[in-house]
Amino acid sequence: MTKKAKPTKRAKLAKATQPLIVTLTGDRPIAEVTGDLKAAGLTVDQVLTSTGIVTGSAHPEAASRLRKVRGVADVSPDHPVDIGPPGSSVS
Amino acid sequence: MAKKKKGAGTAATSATASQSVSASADDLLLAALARGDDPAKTGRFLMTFKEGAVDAGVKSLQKRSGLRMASARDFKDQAITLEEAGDAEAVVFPEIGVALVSGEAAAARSMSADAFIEEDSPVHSVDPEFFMFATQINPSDYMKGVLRVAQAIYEDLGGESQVGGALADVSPEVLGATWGLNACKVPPSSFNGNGIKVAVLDTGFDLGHPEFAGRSFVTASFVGQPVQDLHGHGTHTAGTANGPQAPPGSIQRYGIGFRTQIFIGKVLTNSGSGTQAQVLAGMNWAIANQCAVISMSLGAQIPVQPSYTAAGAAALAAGCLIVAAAGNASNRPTVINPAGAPANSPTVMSVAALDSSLRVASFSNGGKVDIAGPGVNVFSSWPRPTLHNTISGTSMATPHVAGCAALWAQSSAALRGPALRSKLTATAKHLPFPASDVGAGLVQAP
Repeated sequence: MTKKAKPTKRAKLAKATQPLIVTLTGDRPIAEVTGDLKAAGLTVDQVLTSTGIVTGSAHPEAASRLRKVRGVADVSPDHPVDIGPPGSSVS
Repeated sequence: MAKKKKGAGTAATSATASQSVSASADDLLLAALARGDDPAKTGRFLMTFKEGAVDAGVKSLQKRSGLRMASARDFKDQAITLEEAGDAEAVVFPEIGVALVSGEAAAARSMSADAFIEEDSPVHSVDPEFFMFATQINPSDYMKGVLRVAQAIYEDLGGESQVGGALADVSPEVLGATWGLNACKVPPSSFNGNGIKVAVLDTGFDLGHPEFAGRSFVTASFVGQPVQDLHGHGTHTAGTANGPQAPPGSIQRYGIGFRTQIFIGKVLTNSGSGTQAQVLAGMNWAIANQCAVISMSLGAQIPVQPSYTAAGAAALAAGCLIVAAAGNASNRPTVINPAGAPANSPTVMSVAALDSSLRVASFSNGGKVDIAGPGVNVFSSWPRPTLHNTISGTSMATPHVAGCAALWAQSSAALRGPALRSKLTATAKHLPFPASDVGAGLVQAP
């Protein structure tokens, strides 16, 4: 720990993409919104057409740009999901 | 309807020959014993057509499967006796919208009671034909008596003894159902989920579980692992929602919609974890496949997620209802934590857990709760070789609601999406606890 050099700003940025869930308003074609999201810095993973949701990842500072894309209702970080600890009697 | 291998040789041959539509009841009873499976069944099938769809159904059967069919209409006053049906493979009774199909014809065309029926089919259901007896007083005892006599005759003729297995299958009601199914009034329900697609988004399913042989599965994995469930949770939850009416031997009934079409979306890995993006992908898949019910025994202790709310709204608009576990983060009476996501979304039904005394389970979350289900010491299916397991959680309560929802959906095509949700809450059994703990109360089957 103590020996580790402080990462440069650039290295930090390269590292720091975070998985995001983008919820759309549904009043614009999903393909158009997806194109604008890519342009705003989102690396698109899935386009979920039946639910109007796009998942992907981006640098944290891109989130505010993504929120301004027309047709976007919400941009939130992805969360882990589970069923309770494995082997537990309650799940 | 593959024949049991142990009934090989001459016995099997005679069994096959005597499941024809013109066979006598005596022939059928002996054939049933020779077959060695459920002796209460004749080996023939009753196909019920949808209202007004008999003619269309008969035409499509003749055209698509080449069945040789006789109609009661061809006989004077429609007084057909089955012995007169000759070499017909099926006899149609147009006035009641039912056709009797011989066992051989059904086997040759892969027809079975477990086969899923498409929504646009003229056929409403395919059921095994059962022997009928003249008394309803304790029919299972009567049946056992008849079987003992038949078995004695059969053994005299040189057949192998198989009375143990035969008797065990006579009457599933005698062997009972889980406390949860009884509490939800599932056993007396006349519905079975036929024609209803139920999605379970979980750790996958043991697709080789013997009690689900012959069931219709549609599967997808969203976690980069095969659908096969190496955890157990998904096999347990899907078992409660969709398990068999009469598991073999002395196993009690644990499944609700025993004729649903089962959609298994693996959104959690074999270690029981996943990400919201994977869960959303599973929801999207289930909605695109028009599943009337989507069961989600999973979550996270996080605030309402706009993505889940949007997915729930899309589901309702598409006629799908999402039910989700409220979560197990509480330790009552001292700690009551709020329902997690996705259950906390207004467009998703949140399910609390009850014990067998219908009290709120100590771990069950509170706040945004819509309905409650059995969730303590719940017996259901488990991956081989264990086959069954008894576990607790709002995860176990959720598929009870999903299964009952499938039965309600079958009862009326109008009960989809928001209407299905309203029906479930309106018919729930009221409990003497706050709505923030149990919602509308304990889910009930139609």
